[in-house]
Amino acid sequence: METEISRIVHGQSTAIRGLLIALFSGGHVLVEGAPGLGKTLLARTVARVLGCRFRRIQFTPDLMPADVTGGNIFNQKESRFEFVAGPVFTEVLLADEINRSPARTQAALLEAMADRQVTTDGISRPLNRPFFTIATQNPVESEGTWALPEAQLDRFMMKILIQAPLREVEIGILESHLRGFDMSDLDQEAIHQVLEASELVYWQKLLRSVQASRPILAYTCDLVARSREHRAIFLGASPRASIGLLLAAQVLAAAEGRDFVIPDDIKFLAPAVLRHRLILQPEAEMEGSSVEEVIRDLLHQTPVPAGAERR
Amino acid sequence: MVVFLLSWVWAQDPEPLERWVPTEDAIASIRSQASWCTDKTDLLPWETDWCAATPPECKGFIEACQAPSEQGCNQDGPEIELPDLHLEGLADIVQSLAIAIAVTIILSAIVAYYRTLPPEEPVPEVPLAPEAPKAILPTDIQPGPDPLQEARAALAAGQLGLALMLLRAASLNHLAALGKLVLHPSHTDREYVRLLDQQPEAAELKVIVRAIERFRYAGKSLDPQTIEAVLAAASRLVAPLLLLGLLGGAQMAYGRAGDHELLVPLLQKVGFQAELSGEISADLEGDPVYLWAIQNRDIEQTLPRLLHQVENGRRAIIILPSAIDGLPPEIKLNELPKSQIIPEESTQALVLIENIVEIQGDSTSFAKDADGHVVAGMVPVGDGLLILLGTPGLVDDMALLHAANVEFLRRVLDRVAFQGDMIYVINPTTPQDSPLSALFRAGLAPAAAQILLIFAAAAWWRGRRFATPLAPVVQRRRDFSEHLRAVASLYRASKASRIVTGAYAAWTLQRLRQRTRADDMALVRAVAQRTGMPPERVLRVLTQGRAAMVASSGDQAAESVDADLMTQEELWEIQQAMKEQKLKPSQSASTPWKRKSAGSFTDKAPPSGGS
Repeated sequence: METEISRIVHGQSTAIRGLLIALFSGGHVLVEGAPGLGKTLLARTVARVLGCRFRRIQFTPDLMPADVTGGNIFNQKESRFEFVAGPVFTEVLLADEINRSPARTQAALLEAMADRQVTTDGISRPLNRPFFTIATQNPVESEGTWALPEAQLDRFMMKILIQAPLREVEIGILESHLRGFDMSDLDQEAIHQVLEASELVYWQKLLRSVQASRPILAYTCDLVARSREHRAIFLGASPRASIGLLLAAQVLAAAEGRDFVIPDDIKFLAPAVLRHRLILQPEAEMEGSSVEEVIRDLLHQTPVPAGAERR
Repeated sequence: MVVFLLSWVWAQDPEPLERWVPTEDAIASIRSQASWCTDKTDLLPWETDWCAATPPECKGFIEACQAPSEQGCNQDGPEIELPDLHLEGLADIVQSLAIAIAVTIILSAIVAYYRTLPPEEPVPEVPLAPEAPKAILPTDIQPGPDPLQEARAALAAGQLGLALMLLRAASLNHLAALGKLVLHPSHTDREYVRLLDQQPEAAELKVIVRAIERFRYAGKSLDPQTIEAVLAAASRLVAPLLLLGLLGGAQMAYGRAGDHELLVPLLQKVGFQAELSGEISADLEGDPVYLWAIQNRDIEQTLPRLLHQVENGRRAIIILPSAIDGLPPEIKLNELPKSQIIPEESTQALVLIENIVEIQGDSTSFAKDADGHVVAGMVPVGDGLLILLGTPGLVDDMALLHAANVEFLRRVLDRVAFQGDMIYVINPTTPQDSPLSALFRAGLAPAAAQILLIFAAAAWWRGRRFATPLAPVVQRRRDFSEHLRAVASLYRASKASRIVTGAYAAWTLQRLRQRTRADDMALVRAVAQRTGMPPERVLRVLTQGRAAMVASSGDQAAESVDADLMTQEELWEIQQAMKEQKLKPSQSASTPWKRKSAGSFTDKAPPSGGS
């Protein structure tokens, strides 16, 4: 899958890998990056490669919650209300520019992302399996945007940063466009479907059997717990973060050919899993600290399971 | 191995039965092959002629021996019996193989018996039972001076996790001591491997890390090969890197206290010229530095000589068997009471770098240990310089396997020596308790016992001749007369004495003619004159011999065997008399056939005949 996606999305191997890890571990991904870096293209390509049903919601300021989840509409012919499913009833959902809608619209996704169901008028309707949300947001603009609430952020397993491509990669992108690549028409690119939806569900279950020993669990808990005690952090990560970190580590271990998790997996994934869950103290922000620096400090302070040497 | 050794034994002595046999038997065996006299290169010309005149296959001899019971062949004495036919080739091989297999079976039975005995110390069968997921590896482990031995002890106790962590901690500590790693609790093992990048230690550390991950995080057992690989990798890491390139191998790191095999190679590796020598002399070339680890047995002899050299400007490092506290700067070791330099019995591996503190501003001592004891002092003695180290066991193999000790020794050497200087290591060898102690310490006792057992079995099989040096082969031509006598005895037994009597007479006459340079009657007179024998007797004997010569080549009727032998005897006596210039008694006991068959013909009157 990584190879097939990289054929379309150039120079974002780390983001692609993070996205796939979240996909196979059953989590959702918040993709953040400046405009024009290929966030939407990445999400669309992933959906194509998966062969899953794909729906896209362009979040706008006037988007309503019912536009996301769907709602009951009165059928005059039959004189009764009928539920019309929203775009959330899909397998891969692209919530594009999610921070351009107000909080109440964003909150429409809370139940769908956490419980994989939608409740309207007292009736809960389960979503399809798999259900994978890829949300994108632009970190630069503040005008006309609404920051995602903490509860919403916590439902994303990872926050993946899209970096500007390197010079050589960007030249490659230009060359592909010269050859006629049209990102609005992915059909012409003959993207191969690598995985069926049912196969994805199977793999998600299978990867849960990757062994995570007790020292790994302890290390994960220690790391997350320290985020709640760090002096520069106002709000630390939740146990949901621990779960997400562990599940993602299982997938990463399997991706590297192991059937067991090692501390390196946790350390590698910790920034992606924690960065959107931590809220810095105002003092720390004023001092110029960033979440990334704090996470590095957390990793530096937390002994790994075998860290026995102190000189 | 047993089969090989026994085959080798067999190859050492393939025909033992043919050695030390009586001469007559040997001649008989030669004769049976019908090829004697074929090697004429050692014979005189007239001997060659004689051989040519004598048919190689005596018809009468063969016919007689084909019916021994009727003709009485081989019944006159065991000395003329032909030896048993010696089996060669396949038969011998089969015999050797059978014995080898028998010995192998016996040895295998012994080994099997000992294997049934319970081991003295219970050694856990590896792979050890997996401890994960409940495996809790000990943390905060600080390995001792010999982490490899500690790890092996932990393995023996079934604590695989402890062993792995000991090896990991020792390896990382060592790499940190070398400045190749900066240890931190938050660093993972893989991060350490990445930090080492392309350095050679990365591969060794990776082996350890993989094993730990497999054991701890995967909850899987480790097979013996993996455990040995981890031990080997750790030993290569823990051992001084300077030694690695020199000695290599995984097992080299298992140094022992008291052994001094690594010191000289180590010194050479770090840039010095080093030599193992007991020589302390002013005649040594260059300006060598002496390095001496004092031992009790050589204090009185070596110490004064060494101090004398130092007073004359040489440099020396003396490793004392105890601490050197309180030694004044003007110390004269040869005036100290011996009680202060008596060796301590126990030696131990040292880890010095962490414990010693270098002292600045003190001209006489430059290092103290953590307890404040002076462990290194520098003392000017006369025109020279003496460094005293209160660190017994510093140059033992076990101590040198720790990088800290090597570094300490190198720092000390830098005080007195420059790169390329010659360093004489004086008498570093620890005496063994007995000649066999080295064998036992090397663990070769079982092998030696097996070899001794095999040799004992071979000696029992081959008899006392086994393993005794063979008699030196002397190239000596047999006395021709002796040869003929033996042949004559053979012909006598085969009733063919007439032929050999004629041959013997021809040879005797030719010898007499050569010696007297005469013929016919002049020959008779000359022989009688020289030997003192009556001319009549000489004439009679020679006439009888000539008659035998004619008969052997013609159809003349054969005389009796006794008469032929009597003639041969008298011909021999004439020759002996000619040789010794005196006449011997005719009944000499030295005549072999007369002794063995006395009474058969010697009492009879010699047959008359004329020429």
